Amino acid sequence: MSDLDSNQNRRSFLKYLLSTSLVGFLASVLYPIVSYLNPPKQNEVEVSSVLAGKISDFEKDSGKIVRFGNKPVIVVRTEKGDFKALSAVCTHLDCTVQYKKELGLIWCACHNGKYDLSGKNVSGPPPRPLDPYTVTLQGENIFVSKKA
Amino acid sequence: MKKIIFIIFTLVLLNGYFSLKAQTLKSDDQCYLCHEQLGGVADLFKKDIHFQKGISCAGCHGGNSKSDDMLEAMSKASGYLGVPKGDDISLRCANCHAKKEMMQKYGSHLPTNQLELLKASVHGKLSTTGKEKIVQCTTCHNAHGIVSVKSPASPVYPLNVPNTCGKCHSNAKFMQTYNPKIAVDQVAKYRTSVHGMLNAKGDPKPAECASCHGSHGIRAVADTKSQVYALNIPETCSTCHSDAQYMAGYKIPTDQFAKYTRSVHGKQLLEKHDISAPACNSCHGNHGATPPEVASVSKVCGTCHALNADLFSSSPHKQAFDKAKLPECETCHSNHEIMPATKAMLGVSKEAVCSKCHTETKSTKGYFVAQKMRNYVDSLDVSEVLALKLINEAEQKGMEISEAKFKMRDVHQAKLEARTMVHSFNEEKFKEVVVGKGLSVSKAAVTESQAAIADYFFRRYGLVLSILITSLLALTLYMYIKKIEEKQASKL
Repeated sequence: MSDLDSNQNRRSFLKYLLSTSLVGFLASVLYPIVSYLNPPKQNEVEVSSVLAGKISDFEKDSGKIVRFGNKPVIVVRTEKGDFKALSAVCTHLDCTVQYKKELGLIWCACHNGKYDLSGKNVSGPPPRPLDPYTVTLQGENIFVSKKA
Repeated sequence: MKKIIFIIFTLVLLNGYFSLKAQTLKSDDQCYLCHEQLGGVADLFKKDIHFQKGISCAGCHGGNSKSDDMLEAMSKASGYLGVPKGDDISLRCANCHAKKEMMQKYGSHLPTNQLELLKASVHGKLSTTGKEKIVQCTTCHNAHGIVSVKSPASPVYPLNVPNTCGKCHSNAKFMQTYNPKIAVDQVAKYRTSVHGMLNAKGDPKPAECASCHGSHGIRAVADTKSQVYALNIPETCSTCHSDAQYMAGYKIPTDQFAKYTRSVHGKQLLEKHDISAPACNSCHGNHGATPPEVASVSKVCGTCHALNADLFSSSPHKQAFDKAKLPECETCHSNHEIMPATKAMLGVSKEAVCSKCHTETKSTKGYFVAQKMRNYVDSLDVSEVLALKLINEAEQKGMEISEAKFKMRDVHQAKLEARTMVHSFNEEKFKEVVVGKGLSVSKAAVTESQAAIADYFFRRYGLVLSILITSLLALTLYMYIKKIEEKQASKL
């Protein structure tokens, strides 16, 4: 083999090495960009506690729906001033329940399901009680969290 | 034919054999001979199936029935046991009734697991005194005058069962001693039922207490093994009501169970095991079982579907249905085979129930209202599908769209409320729910998610553009530096 052939082989090998490295470099730069442009499917963020509002936001004998992640939670302030938090998803067909002042109960407008303030289903089609949540008072703030 | 003659011949022979045995027993059974003179118990025992089959008093009481010496006959040495008390009573019966070979000896093919069943039953577990269980064999079958279950004289013959059970179950004072909450009106209700009325007329086929609750193995209603536990009720009723041969002569269909299993109620109870779903007794009653009459159908359904019933009662349909004597809920939803209420029921298409009465030429107002109502629901459906698709797309693009997604609960709620509100048959009220509560939210969600998707593309195209500009800048800088270096090199 002549010196010229040997030089050409070395050069083409270096060119091949360089182009492969360049492709690798481009891939490592472009892949994160493409991934960023087309994000993967992701689970909903799990929420463990939310701020439901301030004590002054709740009148006695009233209720309010607050967002807990992607689920509604009903926070009720009783006539005595205590706070209760329950899942606001009716156990019958997933409607959102509300506090019915004149009945002193939690009521579902879809099929007249009724729950007492501990969440127990007392009348109508709901098959089971509402899931309970924990209410924590920190100064003026009311926090709602999932029961352990 | 030969077989029948053989059976009759065998029965005649057996009857003769046992009559002879009873005669023999009568002549040499010293217990019977002595007690016959005293009357009472011996008179009863004379009719007893055990006496008929040649079983002496000693069979239950022990002792030597052959001896005419009372002291000897009733001595402990002779195995005299006396009058059995408490749980001992059932154990004495089981001495024979739990033994197959013993029962066969007397030509009986009765099952031999009665005591076993009784022990596992509510009667065999509960006790008011703490000493013995509340029910012994004699409580229902009597002690000395026991006759075959098939005999109309037996307290457990179908026509007599309600009164036999009622001896305790209709006695408030007695029942209170072990369950103060238990109802004591079962027999009274039973007498108002179709079953009870036929039973009172002397038909032994219709259900009595034991048909549904069982006899020896009666369990509490809340016991999952009970024949009347919520999940088991449809099958219990179907044992008779699905048997075309048994029901022949009563002129009622026998496909109720098959229909119920296909219904929304049946699937909820039997497939999803939701015991709050209605079973046969929820609509027909249990002890007072009877078909709801035309006027009471809506009240029966209304015990669960209260809002629907209220809305219907104040709707213009109420009067029209009353006038035509149509059962309110049943006319549109049927009875045993109630299917999920889909939007297909609403409108003027062939499948829609509205079109049964309302056409373009007949009852036209209802026809056009039904058409409009269906259009509202269809619009909401289309809008909901689009909104969910766009929300999903925006979510997958990494955009924050949780508020719109959360609001879509209102669309679901509006659709369910619409299914209730449709019973008002009022277009304005229906529109308020479907359009006011559902469509407006759905449209807002579409707008919000479209904006989020547009924002995504704005940001991404912006990013690409900025990368291009940055790259161009870097390239220009590189070339510019290279040019400077070349200039410097040429100067050198």
